[in-house]
Amino acid sequence: MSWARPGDGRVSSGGDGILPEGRTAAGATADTVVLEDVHARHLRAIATQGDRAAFSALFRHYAPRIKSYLLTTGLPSMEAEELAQEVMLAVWRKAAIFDPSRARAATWIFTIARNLRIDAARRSRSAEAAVAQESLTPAEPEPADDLLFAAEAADRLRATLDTLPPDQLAVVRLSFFEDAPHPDIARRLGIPLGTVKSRLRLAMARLRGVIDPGGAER
Amino acid sequence: MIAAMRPPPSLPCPTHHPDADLLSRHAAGTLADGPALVVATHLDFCPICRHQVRAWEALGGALLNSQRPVALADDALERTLARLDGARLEEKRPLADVPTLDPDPALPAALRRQRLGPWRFVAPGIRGRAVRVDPAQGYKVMLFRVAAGMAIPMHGHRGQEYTCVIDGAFNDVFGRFGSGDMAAVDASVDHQPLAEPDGDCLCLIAVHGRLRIHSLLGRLVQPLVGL
Repeated sequence: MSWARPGDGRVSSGGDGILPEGRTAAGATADTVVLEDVHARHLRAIATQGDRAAFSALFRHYAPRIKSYLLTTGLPSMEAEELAQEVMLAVWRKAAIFDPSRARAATWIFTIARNLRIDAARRSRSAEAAVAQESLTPAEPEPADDLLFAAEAADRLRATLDTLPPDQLAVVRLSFFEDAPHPDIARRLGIPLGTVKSRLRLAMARLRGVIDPGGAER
Repeated sequence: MIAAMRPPPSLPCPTHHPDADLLSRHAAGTLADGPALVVATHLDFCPICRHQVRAWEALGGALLNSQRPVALADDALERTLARLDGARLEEKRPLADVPTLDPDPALPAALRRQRLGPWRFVAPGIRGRAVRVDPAQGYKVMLFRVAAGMAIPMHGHRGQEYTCVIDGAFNDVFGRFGSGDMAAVDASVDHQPLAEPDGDCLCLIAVHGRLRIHSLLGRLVQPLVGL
């Protein structure tokens, strides 16, 4: 099962070259940066030229990871397979909307996969449930400082993620992607409930520190 | 860093925010439609929380990239490539062109994209519009307009309750809630929010399960509003 072996097949242990001060990039390479740039260029090539080779390259990287993500959220294998292809089709259609100053390619593709997964879940629950999915994303254009902050946070977040021990990452993955109750996570990873809670607490404290550094003051 | 998160002083910013847990679940797409809609309404008002949702989405992207690949069918790429010709490339369109379903300009964008029922009488001084969400998730979502000085009929609920003020303000034991302010309280809280005396309070409420309304009149009208 994909969720049982977190950390396998990781693209890179690299951050985005922007590591918190005082932390050495132990084991980190520039791979992720390069990969993100390549993916952003592929998206641009699709948008401007309908470049099928660029699409194929994106498909080979992302489709198996999207399928894996969808399996993690509990989708049956056949549906995960179909939906992963739908997500890639949406990536093709929406490529012109991708804005590299606003989000990394992986983040943007994740939001597409997330939205299509929610739509599919609605359809499977009831035929007429059709709440506009765009409610999930802020509608108004954002001021430049918003975007800058988000990009910086994304980079620091990834650097932090790269330094998390694999066992903490496994718990974060299940908790974030699936919102799985702690006892479920314990059962699926074969670890005690207390261990789930302590790992999640440690990992989330670090991630929150990056995402919401002012959180304690509010 | 903290300074960078502050919005320009000219923009009013909400003071009551969803917590990190709600924001991360919103970004992950694991919230039910009802709470997700209340959080999305808050986000329309709040640059601070928009920052954080973006950051949580970036966590999603990073986790996606580190997900162990699971092979697709051998012909998956071929089949998808064959479908590209029929797939129209979407033009980059201004966000203002995103279709809205409800014409009321007083509503934030997140809400205008929803299907809302007509205004109905709820109780003296209170009118409400039902917001259509998938009932299978157990949430009721209502937009209430509460006359100045009236109590808001959201106390004594059994399940989790999410509220976002859209216009006007109310006060309860947790303080003052103005435009964009959001509250998430669980069943243990029995609060009595009062709309401020100088104007109507427009607020969006998502409640899990049925809403209990304390007043006798409330009990009488409850079957009518379906809460």
